[in-house]
Amino acid sequence: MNEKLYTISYFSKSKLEGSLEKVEEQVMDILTVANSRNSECSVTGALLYSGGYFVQVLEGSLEKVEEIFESIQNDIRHNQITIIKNGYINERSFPKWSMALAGIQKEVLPDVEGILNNPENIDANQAGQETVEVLSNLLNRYEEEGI
Amino acid sequence: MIVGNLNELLQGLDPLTGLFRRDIVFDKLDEMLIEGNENRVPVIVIELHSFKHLNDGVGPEIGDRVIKGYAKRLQRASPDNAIIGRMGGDGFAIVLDNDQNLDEYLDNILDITSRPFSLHGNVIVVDSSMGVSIGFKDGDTAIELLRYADIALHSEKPESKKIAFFDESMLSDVRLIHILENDLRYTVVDQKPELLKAVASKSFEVYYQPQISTATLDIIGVEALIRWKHPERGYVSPEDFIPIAEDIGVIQLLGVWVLKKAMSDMQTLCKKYALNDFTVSVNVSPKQLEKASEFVLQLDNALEESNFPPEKLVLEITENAVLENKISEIVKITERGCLLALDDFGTGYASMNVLRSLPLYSAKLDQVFIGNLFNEDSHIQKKDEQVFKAFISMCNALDISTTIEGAETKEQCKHIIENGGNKIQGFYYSRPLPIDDLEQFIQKRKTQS
Repeated sequence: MNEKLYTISYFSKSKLEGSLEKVEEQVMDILTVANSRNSECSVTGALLYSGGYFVQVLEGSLEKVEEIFESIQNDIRHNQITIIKNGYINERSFPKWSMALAGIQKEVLPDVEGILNNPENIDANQAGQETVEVLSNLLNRYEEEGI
Repeated sequence: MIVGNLNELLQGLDPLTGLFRRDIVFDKLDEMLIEGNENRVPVIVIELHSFKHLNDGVGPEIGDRVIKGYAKRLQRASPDNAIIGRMGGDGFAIVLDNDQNLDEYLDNILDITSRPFSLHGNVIVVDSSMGVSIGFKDGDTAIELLRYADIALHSEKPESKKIAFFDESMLSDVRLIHILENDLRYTVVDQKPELLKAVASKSFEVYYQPQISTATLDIIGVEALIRWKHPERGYVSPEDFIPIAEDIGVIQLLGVWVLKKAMSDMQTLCKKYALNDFTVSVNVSPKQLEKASEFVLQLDNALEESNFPPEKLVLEITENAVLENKISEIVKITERGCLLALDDFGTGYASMNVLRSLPLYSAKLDQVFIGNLFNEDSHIQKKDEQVFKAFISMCNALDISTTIEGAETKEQCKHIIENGGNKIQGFYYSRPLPIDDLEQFIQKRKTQS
């Protein structure tokens, strides 16, 4: 039986402290936990750390995505969480990754800036699509160039 | 599912959230304060904003999930030994065993709980506020501390300020209504049922205003009137606290207490002074009538406990009660043989149909019409006199006894007697009296006669 696919994308302010290396280590820890948890319940997605912000996309069954999203809400390593988009989707944008790392950037990437700047006026569909595109592009570059 | 809920109830837990129930929070906090070590005990009460609107918007199922999710976040963000309880529909309380890093903890709770929920595809963000009192600084009992935290929660503060600590100046705040609301809640609701009677006796009194027969000038009845002995404000007028009691749903508890007390007091007096044709009138709020069947059960119980004859009990309802409740429901309360009276006649919205349809024993003309009987403005006086006469004549025609309230002067009483009113209740004969003074009043009138 094909279960309907659901997605949530959000950005939040990181509370990770220390040098970029330290931050990198902590983001990798987050990713390891996320990968193991997500693979158990067929949730896929991507995570970006950019200039003190997290941007993340989750996709999978409604129940599991909401369960994981809730556990993320209880994590005190970030705050000021803003949902960019939530809703049902026809296909996954990150089918190959339990949680792909789209990058760890010291500065806010220009691509991400647009999404972060106007949280009050987010057009969910457009911004959601943009987020997925930004993360997909970064993911491709990250994979190709290892940046 | 039912078994699960039952287990939780038996363990003192709220079935929806698994947090402690309100009464258990009181018990646990009191235990903690009695055991008291050196540490200050922060008591935090939390209220979700506009939860009712949210619930109406998304439906009760999602509403319940918000409450459940909110409770879980509180648990996750709190120390293991914190006492966390659900205090009502959208209210929570947390008790900590020390105040170290309290500000940081409160900020964290506020942050975590204000994050979005995704529930069944709905993104929901709830806003909340907190009031904090500190055990061993602001008070030493659960009732005091939870009340003070609640007062802090509702204290006037800028919208952006979500956390308020109690301080004593809040007690002298002008927002009397809210304070009274809190006090009523803590005086009545937070008592265990078995303690309610004792607490009510300590906090409330029933006064009795004599009703005088115009035929014999004897006392032939009383109206029971509740008085609240507020620990800080002295006597609070029923006009101030009854509407609040109705709003917060404690009127049923208070109403039954007055009913029992009045019947028990009058049973004693009627026996002692052989008062045969003597009635006691008790006010019944429209809110009590909303659950007429429940009220009848409470009435049965009160009649049985006091052994008071139902035909001597007059249940007074207002015109508004008739407007808000079906006549068939109101009639139910007379099933046990009690008498029914319509209070404050002439100022509400009762129609002639009410007088025709209800099995009324008596109607009370609102005192506003009597106050003007000897008004210097002859225009008003003339009109009120006509209203008064029409009232008497209409009630006579319908075989409804008349009681005239608010008679303060000899002239007014004379007028009422001459125009055929049946009973007079007013300051001219007596103001409402505590039971001991009423007994003296009866003795005195007996001696005179």
